[in-house]
Amino acid sequence: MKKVAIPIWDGRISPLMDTACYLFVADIDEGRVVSKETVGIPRAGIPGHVSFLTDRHIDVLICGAISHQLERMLAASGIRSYPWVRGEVDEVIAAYCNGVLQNDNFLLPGCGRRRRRERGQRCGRRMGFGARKLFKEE
Amino acid sequence: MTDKNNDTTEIILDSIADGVFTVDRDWRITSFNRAAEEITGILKEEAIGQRCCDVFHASICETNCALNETFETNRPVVNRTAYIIDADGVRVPISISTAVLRDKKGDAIGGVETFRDLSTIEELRRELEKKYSFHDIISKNSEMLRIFDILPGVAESDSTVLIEGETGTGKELIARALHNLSHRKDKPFVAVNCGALPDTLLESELFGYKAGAFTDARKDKPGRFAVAESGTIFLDEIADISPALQVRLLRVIQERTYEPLGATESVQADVRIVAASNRNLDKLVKSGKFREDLYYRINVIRVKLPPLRERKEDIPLLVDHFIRRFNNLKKKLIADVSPDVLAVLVGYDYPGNIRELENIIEHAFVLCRGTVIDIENLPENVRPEEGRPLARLTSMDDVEVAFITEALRRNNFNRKKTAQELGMHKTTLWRKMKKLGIQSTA
Repeated sequence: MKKVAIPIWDGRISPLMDTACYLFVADIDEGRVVSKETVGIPRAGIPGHVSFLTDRHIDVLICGAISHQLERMLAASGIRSYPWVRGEVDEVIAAYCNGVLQNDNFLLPGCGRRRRRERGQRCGRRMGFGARKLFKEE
Repeated sequence: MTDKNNDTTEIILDSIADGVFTVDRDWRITSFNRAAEEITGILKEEAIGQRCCDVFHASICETNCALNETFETNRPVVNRTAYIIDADGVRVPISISTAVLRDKKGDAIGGVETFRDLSTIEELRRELEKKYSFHDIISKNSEMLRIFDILPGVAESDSTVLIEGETGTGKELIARALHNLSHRKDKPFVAVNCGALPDTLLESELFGYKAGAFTDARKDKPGRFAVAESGTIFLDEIADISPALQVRLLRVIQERTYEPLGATESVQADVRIVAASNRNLDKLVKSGKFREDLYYRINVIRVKLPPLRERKEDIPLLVDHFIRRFNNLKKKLIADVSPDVLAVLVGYDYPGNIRELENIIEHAFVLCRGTVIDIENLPENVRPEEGRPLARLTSMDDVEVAFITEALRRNNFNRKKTAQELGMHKTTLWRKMKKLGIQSTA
């Protein structure tokens, strides 16, 4: 079972993880959502965000835009992140479970440019585009 | 003809340095200029038709959207500071202004947002802050700058230092700076407020005691002098110690030895002493309340800190400093104080000095809901009376001082630009500044 978190705003992924106010947390087992809840994120800056996620034993974070600094700290804390994603949270969770989160309609504008510029080193490779591998729930 | 007009508008928009985009009533981007592409790192063709928050991802999108406010209030937002995360994940500070877009009938059809990259300004601000700051002390007052100049030399000397200044003027910050600049910087810095403890407690606190020195003294307790060994001890409010303790302290300074309570042997003390007082020790000596010999022992080098009311040119700098500090501490995005608030703050007397100014800003942070601190966010004792927005400006001179200081601040203390803004010759401005005692950085 994996704990997947998504910053949520008005039913959609928050535009910016660094300033998100609410977090949608789902327990996913064998591609199915077992339980879900929405919790408030205290406004405690980047280290506060990281400890908030680690305290809740989050395995995977799917989010919109994110600063390098926060992304690096999440990686160092063992949280796998899939940034630069957009869309309705329910659809994003379904896409994650079905391994189709890499579809263009879930990518924030600029993600393709980033992918081309960095030859798959950033969001493209992290999201499995280089190897055409889908990050399907294991 | 319409296509030609659209082309012209696009050329104009692409030629300006500020990022500009427009949205329809569904928050979808309808135009995106070249500067917007550069600042966000997102191409126009990728941005058009997208929700603005998916392109802009600014710190205020979720909680304090400027465009939303403009739609709701029908009023433009001007220069709201925020930051965006660009396409590379880099944080870019920006200033945002918004307005409603209307069709020929006057109906709202969307909004326009212009934003300016503040990265360079932010770097310049940091440079400026470096110029006017010294070990967490911020000032551009000539007397303070003179103190900044002599401190490194004083720190190296290892001599006893007496810091005089009203409460809240930053005596401990100076003492810490002296410690951090000295060869003792890797050793302890121990601060003791001599006025906070009764005499008997203070004695055992400073010198420690041996087991059995008094009832309940079951084991040895090292005093602050022992804790500060090889480092610096800062004795704040030294004027408050009793005559008996003054004698003991004199011996420590003279002979560099002391006896813990109940000890039979003296202990060597290799400690630099920095003393501070908010009262005039000279007067206390003359009135017989402070030992003359101790006074001369601690008054080897004297640093006198001016009160805030004598360095009012520092108020805008300090306000900026505290706003940035509280933004970090309280996770807020307050950009500035309103011109009225600055005028009130400049006109106030600050009996509690910089600590009081810090408390005023902290109070305003708690009450401020927007991004600019307004008069109503100030504590009541500072706030001007109802109907008198600048109540403390009681004479024309006071009004002129507040007005010129604010104009100077707006123009980064560039006298030429300030004079142009105020519609006077720069020599006239200079003359007024001299007459009113307004200091300039230039």
